[in-house]
Amino acid sequence: MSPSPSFESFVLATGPELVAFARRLTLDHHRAEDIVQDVLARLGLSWSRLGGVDDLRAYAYKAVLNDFLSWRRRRSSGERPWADPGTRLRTAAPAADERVADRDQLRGVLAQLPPVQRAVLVLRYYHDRPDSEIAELLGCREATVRSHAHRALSVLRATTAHQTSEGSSR
Amino acid sequence: MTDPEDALRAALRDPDLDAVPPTDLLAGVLRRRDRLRRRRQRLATGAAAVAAVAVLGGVTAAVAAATGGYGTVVPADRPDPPVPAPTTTGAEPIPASPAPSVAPGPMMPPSQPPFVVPPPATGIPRAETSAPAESTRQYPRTTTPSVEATPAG
Repeated sequence: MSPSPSFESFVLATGPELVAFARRLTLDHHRAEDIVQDVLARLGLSWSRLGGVDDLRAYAYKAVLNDFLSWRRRRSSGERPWADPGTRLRTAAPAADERVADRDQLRGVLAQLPPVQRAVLVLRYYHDRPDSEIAELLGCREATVRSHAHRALSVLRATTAHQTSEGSSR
Repeated sequence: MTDPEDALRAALRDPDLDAVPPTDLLAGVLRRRDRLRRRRQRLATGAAAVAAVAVLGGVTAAVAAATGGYGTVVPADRPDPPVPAPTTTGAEPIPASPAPSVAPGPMMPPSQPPFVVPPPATGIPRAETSAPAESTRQYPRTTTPSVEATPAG
């Protein structure tokens, strides 16, 4: 087993990608940093006991995912930002890229999904993890993962089709 | 947006979501770790104090129960059963009280007056019966000097 790095070097190396992962889960920068800082602070307190963990990076990813899905975190941060940044961008720059508008629209749909379905989509389409690993991370069966992904994609398709039909009718 | 999965993949891999300065993150993590450590220390101290109070209270209660130090209310003992009254049985007949032989009468005849011891005579206090050889009282005397007895000068 390789000697474990110092806590500070681990935070400097792994922290940014953990925040990026949490930002895709939460769709909120401040909430993502809050989750990652909480998780890393708890890891720092028990850093001396984590020598037996083989993959500290995977351990930290799992901790971030668990914290995002925990009932305590969902209760403490139930508020959602009401401002639509895509609208602000389009107002400031009328010739903004259509891709930005689509991306913001997609994030709006993602924000309406349950946290578990959002986590499945992020792990599947951002980290390209197979369903077996996602099931292991979430503590459920592969069939449950496929069910979550199917429902989330159905919502995305329905919303996209509805908005496309609205845009073509205008 | 043609395919929702491709669009989703493109939206999730947006590089704008990756910009995080690691030094700021490290400072926040260290600050939060110190705060969490202090909170856990306070919790440990409080738990130890509660445990100590519980142990001391339990020991005190055990000692008091063993030595009877507490003023506990103890129900009074039941009174003794009443002593049964003696019952007359045929085995031991009670003897009859004896009848007086003579009729009781007065102890002294009523004709005689009661003897009364005369009190000692208490008359006028008298002088002593035996005459004194010389009067003890010294009366003042007036002496007249005699001429004859006076030596001529």
